[in-house]
Amino acid sequence: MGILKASKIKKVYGKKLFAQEVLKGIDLEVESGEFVGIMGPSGSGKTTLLNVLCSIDRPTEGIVEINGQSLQKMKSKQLSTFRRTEMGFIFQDYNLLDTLTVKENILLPLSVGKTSKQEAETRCQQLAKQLGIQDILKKYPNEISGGQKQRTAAARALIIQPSIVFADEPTGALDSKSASALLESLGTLNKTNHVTIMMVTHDPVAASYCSRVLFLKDGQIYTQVYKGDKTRTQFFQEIMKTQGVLGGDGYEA
Amino acid sequence: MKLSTLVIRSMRKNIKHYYLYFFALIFSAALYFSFVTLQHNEAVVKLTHSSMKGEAGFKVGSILLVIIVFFFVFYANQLFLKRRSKEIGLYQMIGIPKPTISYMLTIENMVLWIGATAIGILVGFFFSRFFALIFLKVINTKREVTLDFSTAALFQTILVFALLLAIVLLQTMWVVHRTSLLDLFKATSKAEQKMKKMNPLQILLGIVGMGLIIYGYYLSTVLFEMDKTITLKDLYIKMGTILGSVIIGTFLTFRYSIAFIMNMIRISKNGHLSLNDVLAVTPIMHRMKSNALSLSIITLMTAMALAILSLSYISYYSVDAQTENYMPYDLAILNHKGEQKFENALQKENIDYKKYDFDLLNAKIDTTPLLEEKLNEDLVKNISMDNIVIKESDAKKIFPKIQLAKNEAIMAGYSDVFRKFMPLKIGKSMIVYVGKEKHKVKLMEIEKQASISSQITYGNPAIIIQDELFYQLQKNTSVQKKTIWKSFVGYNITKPSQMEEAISLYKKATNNGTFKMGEQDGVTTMIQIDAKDELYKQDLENVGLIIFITGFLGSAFLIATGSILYFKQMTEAEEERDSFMTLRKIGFSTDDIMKGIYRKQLFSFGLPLLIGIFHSYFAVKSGWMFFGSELVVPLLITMGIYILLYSIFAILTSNYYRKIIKEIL
Repeated sequence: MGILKASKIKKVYGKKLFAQEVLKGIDLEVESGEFVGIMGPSGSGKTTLLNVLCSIDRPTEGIVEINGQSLQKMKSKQLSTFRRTEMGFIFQDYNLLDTLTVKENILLPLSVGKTSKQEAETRCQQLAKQLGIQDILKKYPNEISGGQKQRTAAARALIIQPSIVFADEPTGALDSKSASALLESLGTLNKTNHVTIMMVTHDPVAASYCSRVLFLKDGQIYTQVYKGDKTRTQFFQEIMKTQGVLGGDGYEA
Repeated sequence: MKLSTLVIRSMRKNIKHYYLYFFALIFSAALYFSFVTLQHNEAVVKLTHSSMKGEAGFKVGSILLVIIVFFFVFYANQLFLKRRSKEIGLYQMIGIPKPTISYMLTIENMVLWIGATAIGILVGFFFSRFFALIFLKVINTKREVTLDFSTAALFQTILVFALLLAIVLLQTMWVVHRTSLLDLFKATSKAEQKMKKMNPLQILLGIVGMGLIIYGYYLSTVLFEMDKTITLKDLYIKMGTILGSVIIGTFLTFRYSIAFIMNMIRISKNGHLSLNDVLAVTPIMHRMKSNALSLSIITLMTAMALAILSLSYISYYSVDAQTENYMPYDLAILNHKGEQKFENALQKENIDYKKYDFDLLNAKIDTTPLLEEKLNEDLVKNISMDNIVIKESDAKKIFPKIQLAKNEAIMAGYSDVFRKFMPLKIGKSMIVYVGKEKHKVKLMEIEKQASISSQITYGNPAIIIQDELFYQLQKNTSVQKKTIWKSFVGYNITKPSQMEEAISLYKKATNNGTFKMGEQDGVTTMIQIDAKDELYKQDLENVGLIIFITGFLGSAFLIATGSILYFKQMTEAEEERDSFMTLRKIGFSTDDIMKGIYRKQLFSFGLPLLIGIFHSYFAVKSGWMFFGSELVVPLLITMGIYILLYSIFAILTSNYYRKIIKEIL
């Protein structure tokens, strides 16, 4: 079943003479339970695509549907509610609220809405256990490490049991050990909880945890590779190869 | 690139931040200059009856104004520097030595100050006309006042602002000196204090803080208790204690109690916060350490402004009531002297009037049994037994509802001051002496409104009794002997437009309102009766100056506290930008977030206001009776207007937040 369906997405910045087409008509479909990576050189429109797909930004043209509902037909307030109930977000710089404890940060998306307290508590404890942060629930963000922060952010994204999770360079600010721990957790959650994840990354290692990787170039989908039955290492090599063909340095933000 | 180019560029780049600072400066300069212009204008000072008092009033006012302006400018500069701390750090990073940075900021400040003071003086010059108009309105005169540009005021303003600039420059240099490169990276996280578990000492201090406030309030209610023999020194000590305990209490409350209460709420939620908690409770908790001092100062300034404004408004408002008490009618004649002549003159000029005729008796009445509390011996001895008595049928003209039995009485014209110091109990009985007989007469009611001039009753209330008892008293020789003023006739002129004419006729008929009574033993008693209109004008001019100066200062306080809170919230909004962005991204709408922001504003503005109102209420309540005769209405009006104006700042702040939250995504 298709969770996310995007057709003919165009995004133009600036006006008339100075117009710059960042996305040039992208068609995309994501099935339930997929772990999709988006890769591409700087300026290829990765983050813009993600922002458009997750309704933070509006496309100039084209339609995005999530769970069969068109985002373009919704008003800003409806979109907010839709984001809060259907989508989870993980950002590169964590975006945790410094004034809240880890637990309060995780429970934040439920602060408006009808989820019962027991239900929220159970979900929170379960996610904390799965992500290995149950010991730091009472701490503040400035008392924990970057990896722990990002796992907190992941828990916050998942607490609402979203249809889809959007992750924008989630490992960008992490060291390789924390990064692989986080990706490991995301991979497990993807498999056990059937969470659909869409992740923008420039890191081939991170991308190798995905089930499918899209390559963007100059605002268009250049190609995509599937993991299929390959091992992670094999998949990683395939990604590297594609990136080589694509050209451009993959190692910039 | 030359240093001067850098200065100009950074100023142009920072113009948005400058706005706030620049307007704060212009506003202060304008306010100060217009006030000083009025101070140096002889015509204005001489308008007030006693010019000595006027000059002193303006002097005290201008000193207080400098203090307010100083606080205001100092605070604005501090915020301004905080906002630019990153820039200062950056200059250091690229290798500009600290003295050069100080020098740059000094030039910037000088340019700003000179510009702002010049504009402020110009604006202030126009303001001063406006203020002069208000002033004339307050003292209700139609006299003209010309305002010239005063060089003395100009020099005074320049001097004061040059001094303030020097202080601000020192502050700036100190801040530059203190910032290290490390601060550049910590700039934002530094403001946020880690919320640790409350230790018992803090909880105790929080409780002590609230206790101190309550203790101060309690002391203020018993400040002027009559039953104790208090010396002036005791009074000062008591006042000092009240002030001290309330000030310290306020600080401790802000510093510990509020964080403690909020922490309790937070802990009780066990992580399941509502969005309102997230936006209102937690940021406030985190900032309480750095905000406690400024919130306390704002609270105390609010309390002071409110108390000053209330008290002066009470005196202004009470001019009416006090004049009314002193002289309840437009004009009055004693012992029918010149009555016929006056009335004939009025009729000849076709002036309509209403006449109130009272027969008076001076009777010996012991009113001490009416007292609610026993007074000490010395005071009781001083209470005069001489009371002016009016008969019921006369009093009915102004109190149509009264209905008395033989042993019942009503008091009229018992002022609030007396009520406060010597409360009387309705239903108790006073003793009326008729020769050797004693009559017990029950007090049925106390009327605030006076029936006859308090000049005749020695400031005591007049006692209204039933006609039968009145005639019984009238027959008594000792009463007859003591009664100097046998009658009082009050006149109310129907048309206000004819008042002036009536007054001049009255003066002709009654020898300028002087009533003499040749008495036994060759002593003459003389009373000067003034027309109410003239009394009122005199009183108004006397309190007009005070209300004007206090009003001026009160508004300055209000605007200063409001602006400081506004600046503060602006900075907080900027600091919380990232949080708002996160919230918007993960799916909270602007309206959801604004609900929390309104809560926060309610707290940021409401709490200092609420505590300030309580402080000022108790301050006013303890001593208002020295200022006037009305408490409730002027107090409510003052507070109402203050709250209204104050909420404008809260609305402005909320709009600023909304703008930020909206544009963030």
